[in-house]
Amino acid sequence: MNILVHLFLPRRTNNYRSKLLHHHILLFFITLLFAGSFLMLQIKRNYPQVLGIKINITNEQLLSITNEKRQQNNLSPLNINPALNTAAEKKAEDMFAKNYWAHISPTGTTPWIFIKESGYNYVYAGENLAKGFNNAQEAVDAWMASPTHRENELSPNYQDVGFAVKTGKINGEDTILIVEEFGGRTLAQIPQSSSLQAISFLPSSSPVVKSASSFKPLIDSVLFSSNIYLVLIGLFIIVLTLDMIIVEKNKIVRIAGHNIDHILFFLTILLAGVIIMKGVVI
Amino acid sequence: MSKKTKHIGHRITLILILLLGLLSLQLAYANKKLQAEILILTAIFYVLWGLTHHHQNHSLNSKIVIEYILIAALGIAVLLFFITGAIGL
Repeated sequence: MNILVHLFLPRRTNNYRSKLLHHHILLFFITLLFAGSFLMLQIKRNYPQVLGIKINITNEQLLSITNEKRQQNNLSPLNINPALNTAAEKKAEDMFAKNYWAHISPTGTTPWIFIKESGYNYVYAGENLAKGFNNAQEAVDAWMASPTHRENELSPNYQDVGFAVKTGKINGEDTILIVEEFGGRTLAQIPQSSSLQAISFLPSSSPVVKSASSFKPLIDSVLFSSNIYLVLIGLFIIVLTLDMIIVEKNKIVRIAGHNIDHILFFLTILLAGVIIMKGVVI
Repeated sequence: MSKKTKHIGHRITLILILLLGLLSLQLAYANKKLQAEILILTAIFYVLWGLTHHHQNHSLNSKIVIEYILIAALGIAVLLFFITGAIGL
């Protein structure tokens, strides 16, 4: 108990400054975190089966949420189509292999090529992409919040859909990529997406690409690092607050920075983490 | 200008610096490298603000300089740990 008081509260034994806020303890945490980051990176690279990104998104969840949105808008539900699933998988693999985040590849391959190559003869076709989301609901919500993606989600022209959820690296970042390919075989209006170009399709695969169903690391690196991040920031905000209250209350005079400044800075770091981890859609 | 007014003015400046950092992070959402640079810049500005604030209050000394540098470094280190686990480098 005495040790906890010594660590968390300012008193005579810690020179009226919570021990956790002493310079050498701060330096210890900084060193530990930098070393931990380096170690985690090495384990993720060399032993991905031990520490890696665990995907909690399935095609079934994506279909169910998408159809829920469609039914809310009085539209018929979409059916999973194996050919569109293949097209989505090929598209995701192509994005990782050629390192791009776009609907059209750097070599000019459009999504329609992947759909045609998979054997799906469409009249209408569309594609939604998302990266950086850790659950299906957030990804579909992000698509619904964007007018152009919402148009695809709620188009009456589509009857079929295919999904791919894969992890890999794009621009050096570990990414959970979600590809959603829409298709409609029934001619209802003037075709809107028949802009097929005569570009050769080069199937590609990358060793760093892992499919959602086959890859489950022992420890989820996202959960592991985010828990430590939240615990440490929370711990320092609590210690700084307690230290500030007790010093103010007891009118203790000491040479130290203002805790309120440090609390504001840690709150900024907390919000920065939320912003950095936000997924994006195109 | 009273000491209290000066303190409030300084604190508003700090909040603006931190909010500007967060806004820049949001604007650079698709570019993780730029986001990392913005974070480091925000931490540097935080230290500079701390030193200026204590200098104007005639309370600046080496202990305070080290404290602001360590707190900024700790913030960056904990965020780096999080990013390494969640995104990779």
